[in-house]
Amino acid sequence: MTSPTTPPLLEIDSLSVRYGSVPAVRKLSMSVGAGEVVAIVGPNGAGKTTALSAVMRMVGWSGGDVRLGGESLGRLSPDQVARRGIALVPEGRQIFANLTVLENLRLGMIARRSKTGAAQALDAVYEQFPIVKTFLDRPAGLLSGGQQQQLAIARALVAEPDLLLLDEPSLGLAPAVIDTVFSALAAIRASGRTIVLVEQRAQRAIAFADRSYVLAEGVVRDRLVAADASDAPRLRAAYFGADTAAAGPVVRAEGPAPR
Amino acid sequence: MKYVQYLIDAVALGSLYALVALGIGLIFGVMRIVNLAHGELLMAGGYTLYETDGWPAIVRVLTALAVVIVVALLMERLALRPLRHASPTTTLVMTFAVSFLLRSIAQKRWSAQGKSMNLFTDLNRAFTIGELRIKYLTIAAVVVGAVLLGAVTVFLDRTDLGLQMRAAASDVRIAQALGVRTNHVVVGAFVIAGILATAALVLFAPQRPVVTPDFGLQIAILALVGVVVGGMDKPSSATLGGFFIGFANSMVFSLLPKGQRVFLDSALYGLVIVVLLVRPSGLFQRENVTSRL
Repeated sequence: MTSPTTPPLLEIDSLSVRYGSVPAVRKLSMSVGAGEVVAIVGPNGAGKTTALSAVMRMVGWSGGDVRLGGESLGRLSPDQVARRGIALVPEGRQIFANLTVLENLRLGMIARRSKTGAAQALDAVYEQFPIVKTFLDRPAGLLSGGQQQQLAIARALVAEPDLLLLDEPSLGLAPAVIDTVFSALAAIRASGRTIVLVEQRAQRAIAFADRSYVLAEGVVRDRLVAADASDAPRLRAAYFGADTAAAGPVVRAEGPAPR
Repeated sequence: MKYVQYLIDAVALGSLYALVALGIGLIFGVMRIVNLAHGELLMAGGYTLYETDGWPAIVRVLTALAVVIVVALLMERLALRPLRHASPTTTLVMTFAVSFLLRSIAQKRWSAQGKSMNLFTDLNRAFTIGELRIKYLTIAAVVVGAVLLGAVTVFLDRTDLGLQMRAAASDVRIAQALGVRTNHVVVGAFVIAGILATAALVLFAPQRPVVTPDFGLQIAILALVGVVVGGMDKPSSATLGGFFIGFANSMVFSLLPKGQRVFLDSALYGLVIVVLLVRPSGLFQRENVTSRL
């Protein structure tokens, strides 16, 4: 899966993370090529958010490695990972509610690697998210959930990262707003940026991504391609294992993890 | 007219405590650490003034500033940075230990007996407007206090490092994931706290000219009470709290009948208890706001 000359942009190599004695991610391996969109789906508690936090070095590893363009991230702190070109849109948006929209964007620019082009990067996100420009001087906490999500994505984009990690961008949003978010993601993909998307809305994420990994209990249970999104039995099998493929209707992806 | 005089004195003392409180509040905001050793910064500066007696005043003040900043940075680097991920209780005990250690060193080196700082004693002179007697020190305290508080506000609001401090104060994990270097922010907070502590020291020195090992502790404890009374979560409310406690201290002192002044602390802390009971989240904190800067 890896060409011998160029390593994949992101390579997760039997990564393990534990919270105390509880394993959250177990020997996880996956790779993401430059320009690819890869989704990570799976039930609650599957380790999706932990995997992204581990790539950012926001949680420590108990084993394995993560490499960006062939370079190990193992000795870096989160701010150094950000400055290497990975930007995270965290779960629950996590914009700074007490800071203005513009201040949030300025914080996003800290991790920029190029000294020039900051103004163009800002203009680009204003064009993509007009709502952000409208409310520049407003405290970000006053924006609606969907607007905050757009701000969180814009804040990540102004760093012009090589790799964009999105954690549950549709969480808690109304369906119409989710459409807005996904069309923004489509535009980001069209611009050639590499995306790793964690989502509980599995069907939508799988259909959007080039490839998907199904995570359960911290391990990769299955791999899917976009076409699998419309194949309900295939999805069910991927989520719950082959033996339960015939059992009942498609369970909502947001539902609890199977016992 | 008597009360106007009390008011003027109270504003002056309030400004000094506001400076100390802002230093404590900034470090708490950025690191979630209650720095019980903050007062020892003033103490270190105080002994520097004692040791440099005879030098030109401006050189003495700058030397004290340098010593205070170095002590603040050593405190951060040697005692607090290794505990960055420790629990608040652990760091609290650490700052207590640092405070105790520094005071013990001072006692060993300079004894428990007071040493004269002998700085800007001329500022104790006063001029009169009608019945009002205004010390030059009062003017200096209010002006320096206002200028420094304004400068810190501008720094936090307008500069990149200030923005990063505010971000780190509200969510350090996310700030770091955006590229904020935690160590830069923390060092910045300690440098500012050192500057504010030195300014307060220089203004305390003319009216409390004797430095002892407990000199800083007495000031910092009261400032810390002010910070809690004002509300720890925001630098502005912490500062107002510091001002309040200094103001109240001076007012209670003036209003108590001469023979009753031994009850100053009882009256002051009684007031503190009432404030905390009525507004537990802080006097200058908006109600029900818990998760903000």
